[in-house]
Amino acid sequence: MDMVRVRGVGKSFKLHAQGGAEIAVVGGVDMTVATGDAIALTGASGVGKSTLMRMIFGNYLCPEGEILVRHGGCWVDVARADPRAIIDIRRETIGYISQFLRVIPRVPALEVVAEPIRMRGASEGESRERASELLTRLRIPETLWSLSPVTFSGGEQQRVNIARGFAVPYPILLLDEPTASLDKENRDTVIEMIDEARRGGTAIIGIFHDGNVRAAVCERACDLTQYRLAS
Amino acid sequence: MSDNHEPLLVVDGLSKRYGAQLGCRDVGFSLWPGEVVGVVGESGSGKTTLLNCISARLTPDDGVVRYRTRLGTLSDIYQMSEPERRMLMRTDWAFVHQNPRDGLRMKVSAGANVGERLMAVGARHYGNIRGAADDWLSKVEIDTGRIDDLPATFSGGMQQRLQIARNLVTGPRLVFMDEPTGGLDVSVQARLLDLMRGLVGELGLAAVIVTHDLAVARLLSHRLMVMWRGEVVEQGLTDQVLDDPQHPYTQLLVSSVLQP
Repeated sequence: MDMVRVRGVGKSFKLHAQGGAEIAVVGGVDMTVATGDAIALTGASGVGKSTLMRMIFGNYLCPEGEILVRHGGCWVDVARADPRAIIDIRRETIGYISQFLRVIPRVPALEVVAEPIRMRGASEGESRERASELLTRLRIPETLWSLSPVTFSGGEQQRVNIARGFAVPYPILLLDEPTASLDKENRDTVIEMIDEARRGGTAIIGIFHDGNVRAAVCERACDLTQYRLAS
Repeated sequence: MSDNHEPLLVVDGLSKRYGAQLGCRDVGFSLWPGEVVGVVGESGSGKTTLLNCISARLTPDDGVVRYRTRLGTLSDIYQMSEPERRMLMRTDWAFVHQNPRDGLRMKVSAGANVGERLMAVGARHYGNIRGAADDWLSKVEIDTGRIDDLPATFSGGMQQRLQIARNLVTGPRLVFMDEPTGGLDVSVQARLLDLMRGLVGELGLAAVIVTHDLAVARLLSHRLMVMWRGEVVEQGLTDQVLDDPQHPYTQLLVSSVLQP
């Protein structure tokens, strides 16, 4: 079953501080991702991989084309959806794990991970239990759970971020370099988690610079070089 | 009862001038239950004028502000009778000022500041009022042993938390906040933000928060409106407006923030 249909998507940035310079990124992107599919976005740095991913998540505006997402049994065009619809889609349908954790002072790691579970209506106990499982699996020592990740190392923050991204089973998962700052052991765990999600039916779109990780996770690739626009 | 699919507040074509000086022009937006909208922009951009106009504190020259009352009907707040509007401001609405001194009564105790709002809506039982005040002081992390102290003896951060307790004790559905973290130390700010984030989520409040601090806006609001020279020049999902700003002014605003 198709979960994401990207049709004729194009994006450029207009920089007003630089005399309204237009930076064209991509044009005419077509891509379909189904349940249990794992697709890697490839192409050189600056080709627009993260930009496309952010448009699918509603974080960047999509001025051209449509991004259809199956949300609660209906197709919603993220490119035209209002903010409230996108918030709803992010709670139920699309998970996004970026390279960096946006840390909030005073919010403990356990709470960071438990939040998406509670937002779906789970009890505090239930959500904390699930969050503990994930933090344990990702080897975050229990002594750190009650601390804000502000002071954590890059790798630890990244793992908290991953735990949060996997806290609830999203039908669609976007992964932007999820293993970038991890050691081999943790990288293998994350690959395992991604694969479990995929086998459970999650549609996965990922960006992985590490070719081994990409090969382990994805069965096909979409090279964005073909959609590149000359600036 | 109104349900969550109907907006709580509907603002349309709102304008306010101060003589030749423009306050805000042609502002329109809707706010849904449980939704937090941030209003950002530099000083003099019309943020506070807008906040005052939509909270029945400053009559606009043009435009309509409609609020869905507990009966479920959308009513023009400037067409209501004075007692109706007063009742709304005391019960359903709350207003948190930048300076806690504007929102507190400095000559009465912390407990009385919280209890007073309850008495204004008819609470008479001393024990219950005291109990509620006690409960709210602990919710905003003020030592309940200070319940009989005057707010003047509190630090700025405590006063701000007390103002929040005083406002939320009546169980409002809509909260207006004007620079709620302005003028506080960074560490005190973090505590207040954490508290507000928790309370807004827990109580399912709708809120309009005016701030010039983009980090505060990102943390607390679902949606963002960017004001410039009295007009809303851009609005949308908070992270979208901050990460992919479209209007020249928003781009300037976002790129002017110092990254610590």
